[in-house]
Amino acid sequence: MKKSTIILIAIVAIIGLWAWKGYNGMVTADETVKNAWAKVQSDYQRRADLIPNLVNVVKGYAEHEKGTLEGVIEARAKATQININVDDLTEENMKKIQAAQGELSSALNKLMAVAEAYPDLKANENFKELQSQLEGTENRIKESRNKYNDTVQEFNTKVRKFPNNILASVFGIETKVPFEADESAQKAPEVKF
Amino acid sequence: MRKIITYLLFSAIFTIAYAGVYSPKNIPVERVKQNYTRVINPDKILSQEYCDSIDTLMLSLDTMSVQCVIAVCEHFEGDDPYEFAIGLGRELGVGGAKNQGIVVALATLDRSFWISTGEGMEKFMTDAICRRIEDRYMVPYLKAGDWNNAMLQTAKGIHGYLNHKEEYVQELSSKSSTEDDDSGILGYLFMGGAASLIGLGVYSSRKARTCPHCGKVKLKLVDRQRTKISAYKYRIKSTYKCENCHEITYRDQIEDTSASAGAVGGAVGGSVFGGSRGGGSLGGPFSGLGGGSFGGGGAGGRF
Repeated sequence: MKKSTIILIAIVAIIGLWAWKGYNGMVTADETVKNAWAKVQSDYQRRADLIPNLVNVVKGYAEHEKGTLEGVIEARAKATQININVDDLTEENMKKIQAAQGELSSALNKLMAVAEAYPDLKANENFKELQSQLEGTENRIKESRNKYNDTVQEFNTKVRKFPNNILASVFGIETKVPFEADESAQKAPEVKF
Repeated sequence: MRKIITYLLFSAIFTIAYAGVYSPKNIPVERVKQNYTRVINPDKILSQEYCDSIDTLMLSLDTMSVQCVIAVCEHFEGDDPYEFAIGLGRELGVGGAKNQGIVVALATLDRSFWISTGEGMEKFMTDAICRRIEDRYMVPYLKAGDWNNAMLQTAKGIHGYLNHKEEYVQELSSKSSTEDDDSGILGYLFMGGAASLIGLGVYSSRKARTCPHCGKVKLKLVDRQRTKISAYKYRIKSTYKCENCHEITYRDQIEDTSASAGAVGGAVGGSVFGGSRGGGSLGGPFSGLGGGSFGGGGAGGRF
């Protein structure tokens, strides 16, 4: 075999190994982002699942707060309608999700503020527990969003760095969209005891 | 000279202003990392006697693969007990490989508290249970300014609940007595489970105390020596004397702290709180490796 052929084979093998390693690295990072996104969605779902019980308990004590209760139900319906796969997370879709979830957060904040005016409701054991579960869920959402953003940052850095960016463009791998910092939506509702 | 004096003055003011303000980064945790204690008490708010009692309870949770740290100081940085508790859990790697960690944080002058649970702990100690522990064992003492008992009773509550002690499980699994009691069957299940555990405990205890010479349950422990044979293994040599035939019995036992150790009787708790608990491997010392994954579970508030 000619020397030049051997060198050519060696170069192809090195490029092949690099491509294999680089591609697998990006796939692993992609899966991590998908897992983090699944956690975000399950936390959103967890919050949505708490709402019917919460509304029922509040309704028993504050029935004439119809507007606030309907606001929560409506916001919940809107938020649960949006269910987007991580691969379809464009900036526009992310804005839609953030807007819907933000709306739900503020509707829940209003509901909690209303509860302050009803001492019997505040003292109700079921309400207190739903309140603590809601608070825990809001915290979980905050943590899982942060974790998602961390994984997206890691993925995007990997995809955009040279020479991985060449591989990414060959295989059609694109950067992912993180949550935008939105203080009002990210901050967990403050619950007074 | 004037510059030096001004600098010293500002340093002193800064030190005084920020004394007792702790973040997960600056709170002294060396003794916790070295596994000497589970109580972080930099402002000496808790008395040593209470710290020791809390330590005994918390360190005993290690055998169930649960690591619980209690931190008490005057102020949390940013007046945020949640961020402090979760940050401390991550910083220390509380919970070991299974992430079964609990951090209890109290800032006496901020008048805030938080119980944070690691991701592996959430199914055993739900947010509602954390809240009940706070409401029933912590807050009444906090309102009275009795920090020692607030933390000791909280530790007892956590320890009792995780060990399926009947009084704690019943107290924490039920809503307050003013609520309708809809947990009759669950109560019986708990009682049945607790009775089985007690029976098993009595049987094991009798077996261990049976003299191999005369067959009577009269063995009495007279000496026990624990020697380290490797990083995680200990040899325990126990000497027993029979009160009936006065024969001496020796028993050798190898304790592997890295292996599974937590037969917690999980079916009892699991059936109610949505998760079954089998034996688990010990978290080991606070190496921080693999532990400290806190996803936001827990509850807290102000008093």
